[in-house]
Amino acid sequence: MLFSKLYEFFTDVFVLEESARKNFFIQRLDPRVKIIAAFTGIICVSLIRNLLIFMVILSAALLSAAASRISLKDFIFRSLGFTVLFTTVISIPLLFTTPGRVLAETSIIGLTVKVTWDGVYNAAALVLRVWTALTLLNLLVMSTSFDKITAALSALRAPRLFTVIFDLTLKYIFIMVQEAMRVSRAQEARRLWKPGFIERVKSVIPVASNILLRSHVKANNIYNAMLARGFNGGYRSLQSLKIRGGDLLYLLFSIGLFSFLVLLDKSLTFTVIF
Amino acid sequence: MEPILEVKNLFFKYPKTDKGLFNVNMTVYRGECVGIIGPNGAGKSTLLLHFNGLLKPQSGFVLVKGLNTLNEKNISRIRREVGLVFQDPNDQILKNIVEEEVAYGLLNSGLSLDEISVKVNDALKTVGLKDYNKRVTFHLSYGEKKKLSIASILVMNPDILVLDEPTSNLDPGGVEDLTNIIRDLNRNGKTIIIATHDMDFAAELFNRCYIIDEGRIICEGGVETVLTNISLLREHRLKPPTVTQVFTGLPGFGKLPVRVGEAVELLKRRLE
Repeated sequence: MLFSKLYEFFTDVFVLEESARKNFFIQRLDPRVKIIAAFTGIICVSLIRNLLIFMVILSAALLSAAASRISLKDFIFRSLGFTVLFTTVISIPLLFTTPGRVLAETSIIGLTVKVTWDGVYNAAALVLRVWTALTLLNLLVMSTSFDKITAALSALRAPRLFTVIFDLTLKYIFIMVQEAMRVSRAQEARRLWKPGFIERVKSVIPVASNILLRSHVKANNIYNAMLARGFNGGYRSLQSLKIRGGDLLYLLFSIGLFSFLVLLDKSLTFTVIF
Repeated sequence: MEPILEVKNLFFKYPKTDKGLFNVNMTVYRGECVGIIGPNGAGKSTLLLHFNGLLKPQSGFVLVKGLNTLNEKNISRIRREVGLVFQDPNDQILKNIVEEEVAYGLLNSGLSLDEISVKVNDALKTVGLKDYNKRVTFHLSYGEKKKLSIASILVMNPDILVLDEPTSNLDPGGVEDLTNIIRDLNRNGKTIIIATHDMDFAAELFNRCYIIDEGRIICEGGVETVLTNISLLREHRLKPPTVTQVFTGLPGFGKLPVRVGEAVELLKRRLE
């Protein structure tokens, strides 16, 4: 079940790339421009602290996704799901460790625990920062096929090894999930009762070990197939990339907007808004 | 006839097993369609990997158009001359889009994008996948993936086309399509080497074949001779082609047919 879901997800993300193959505003942009804009955005996000500015960037990303007919449900779920799981947990200590105006105070086994307004603000900023950065990356990934991203990375003179590994990783991740699903199905076909939670967790262990062994064989086969077709460690793509006027405008607008937002953030006095 | 591929006293053993190839000798001539027939685990795929230089002999040698695969400087040229189609197309397909997949080998060779585009279209047309350029490879049927893997090798225009178990997992229609594609390629001058244990397919295509078992060449000869040697085939866990099996049970036919067409002719003559 878990592997089937993962398989569906990876099929959609790495193989079908349905939203990336649509032909709307963001999809039409040159992938190099999108990569530069996304990374400028991520740098901007790492420099700002104002919650309202995070919300402005998130809203702009959502609007761009909607204008490009990207499923908003998938768009929000992919970044928010991750954020909620990891960053919220990581940000919890900030509530108690940040000094400032006290919001709530309690005593546990003789220890006074204080939650401050500043702590809440910092925790919220951390969660929003990660969410916004992931949203910008998501916008890039959901509007650009991986072939184009790899071609753009190569054109942007990213290290060749990085580009080749990026290209191969996509193939391997998908194949490994596919293998995991097959092993898991074979396991399920021989199970005569509905497994409990513990049993399901336990069943992942043989799948994982099997995957390690199989992935070794698969990796060998794929590498042989690459060598047989003249693979020489380089990367070249059929994608012919062309920067048009619209791409330049988008790039200038993005860089301008993100720079403005960083300056705006710096000029605003840090105030707790709760 | 001019030898295009020669294997001399080839020895190769996988570490920690007794599997491998032991003193294999074979010669393939230009324009031939040659079969390597053997049961599972006989060493067919291992032998094919030597033709392309993916495996190197531990002793003996493999010459492709006179180039020794042991010489690292020859490998790039050898891989252009010998196109290897793997058994499972899923292991060979590296790209999401059909045209990107077919172009993969050419992109490694440094041709211009325009030249590549023309060659990609030609290769797809040859295997009957015209207009599939923009399709997602994941959506193709197994038979289509098999054709795609052949196209992605053909596009590099190798002189020798080597196919590993090309009919495995294919439906009868797929096998027929594949047989026609390979026959056309052979007629157009390509040298074809195929590893298989599909005897009906072997009988339809090959001029000559080698029987291999436990890493050793057991016999070599024309398909009419080898595929009708029933005791030898059974000894090596193989069966003769279906029509040959049928005619073995019918008295008074003398020569056993290996192909359906020959069997039909024999029956026609008998009925007349």
